[in-house]
Amino acid sequence: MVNLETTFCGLKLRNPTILASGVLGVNPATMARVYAKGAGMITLKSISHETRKGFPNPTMLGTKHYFMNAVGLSGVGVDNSEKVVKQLKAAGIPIIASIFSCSFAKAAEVGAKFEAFGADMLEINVSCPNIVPGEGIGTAIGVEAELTAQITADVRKQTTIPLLVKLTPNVTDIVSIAKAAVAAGADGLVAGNTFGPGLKIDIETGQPVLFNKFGGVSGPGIFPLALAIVYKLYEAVKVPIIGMGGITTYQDALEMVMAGATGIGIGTAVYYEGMDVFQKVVAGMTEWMEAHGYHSLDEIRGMAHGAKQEEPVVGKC
Amino acid sequence: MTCCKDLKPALPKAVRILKHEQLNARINRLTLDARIDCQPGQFVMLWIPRVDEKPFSVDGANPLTITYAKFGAFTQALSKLQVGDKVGWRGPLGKGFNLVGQRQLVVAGGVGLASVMDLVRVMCSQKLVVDVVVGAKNQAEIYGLDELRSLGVGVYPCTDDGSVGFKGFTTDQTTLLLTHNKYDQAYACGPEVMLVKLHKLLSEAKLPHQLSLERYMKCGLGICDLCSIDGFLTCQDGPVFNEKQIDQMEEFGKVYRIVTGEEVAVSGKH
Repeated sequence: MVNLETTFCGLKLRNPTILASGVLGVNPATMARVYAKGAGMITLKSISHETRKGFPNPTMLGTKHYFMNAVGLSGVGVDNSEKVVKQLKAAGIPIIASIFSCSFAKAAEVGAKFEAFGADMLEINVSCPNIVPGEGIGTAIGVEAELTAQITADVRKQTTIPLLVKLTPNVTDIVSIAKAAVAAGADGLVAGNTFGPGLKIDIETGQPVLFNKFGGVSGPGIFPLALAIVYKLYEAVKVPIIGMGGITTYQDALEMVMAGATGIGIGTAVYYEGMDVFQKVVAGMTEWMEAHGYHSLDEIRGMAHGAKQEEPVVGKC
Repeated sequence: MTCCKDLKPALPKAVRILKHEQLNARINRLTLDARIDCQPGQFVMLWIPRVDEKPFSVDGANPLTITYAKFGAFTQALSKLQVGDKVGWRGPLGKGFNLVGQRQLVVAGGVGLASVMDLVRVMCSQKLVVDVVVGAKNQAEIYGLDELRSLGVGVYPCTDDGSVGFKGFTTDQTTLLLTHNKYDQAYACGPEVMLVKLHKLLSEAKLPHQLSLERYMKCGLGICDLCSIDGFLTCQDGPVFNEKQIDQMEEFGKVYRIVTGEEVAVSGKH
């Protein structure tokens, strides 16, 4: 009998799939529908202390290989989020509140409010690439280990529920930033946000398609990049990791677990597969594990990190 | 993975404007150098580079024709574009009308006619019996009557001030028609307050119906969640919903979400 039940930061989930932040995370009824479609946990759209409009359209575009977005962190603000959290918790749905702010003190306040509303966990978004220069949010924080540690510590001081940090992959050394977040009190990591930002030009008009010109890249094309990051983090930190980035199929999800992920973040795949992607991934993982004689994900987690092999000589420098 | 051809169109294609007509002071019709294979009631996103991208009903499929009201900043910018200028489009998006039965009742309020015009053309091509109720504020704002008459359907104009046709709301005209005629299915698009009243009276008359709803929409791809109504996504599950789906919507007639995601009351103005 296969059991996909997963304990993440002390919270028991019926399966490891988690709706990633920024996808279908506004209306509690939609999030309840995603949960009914099989997700194990739901992440709300990232929220700050204020209401934000984000960028004009186009804010998203997609091809069969990759997807791009420059939404610009539009959001209702924390004070409009109480009803959303309460409605989801009343329905027994495990939720992560994703938070951000240019002011670390305000980020801590936002986190404390979400904790009071009843959120199960917090995710600090220090990795959105779609930011206006000088705003001091998103990647402006996440590319610096010191700033990442500081916001983590500040939010930690005001909150007690499990605290995750969503990392940006767009750095030279993600491990050092991950270690700084963990040392500052992060209970888990989310790895990670979109890549880039990238650019798409419409050749008929010669113009960038996204209003913001640049946008974070997600979708199937980034999966191997995201997988490599989770693999490296698993060897470097002790805290559990939500692996995400291009996961679209159950095979991707299994690879993520074998790389070391505890949670399976799914976002853009909602475009490629619809909301059914959650039940498809869960059903596929279950069937595969059954066919291969596994009972629990613990048996395959981190499997790709085998015993040390002899270093081959590939050339002389 | 789903085959790429099943993916929702997510990249605009820039084409030239073939024709840009003013139908009245408020309403324009845009004809693009493009054709689209779509169901009546589906929609497209129109893109003006460096300005914005917004959803529009497909009025005609070949060539792609959009009828729009000058309503906000985007449609104002659109109205300034000329023949030969380029505009981007992607579609078809969403679910359109599902033709059921022989005797058809179509109700359109204001520029909502743009969402049902192609439906009426398809009905006519299938030689169905069609009555169309067309409502507008006054003579200056009503449009499309000549085309509807040329299609040979029953045309029932109504205006708030009685300057054209019946004096009163489309719902009053619909009630009159229901007392004298039998229909298999009704289809409607218009202001939400009209649709709420229509849903009530059609439900009471036990006439199955499909309504094209409108919500503030950002991506059109089932991702941003701004257009959702109680978990139904207007961009992919709609914009056309049947009466059973609408019965499940607590937010219908009451709440929609703006660009920030904040909830706003549906306007009481008819």
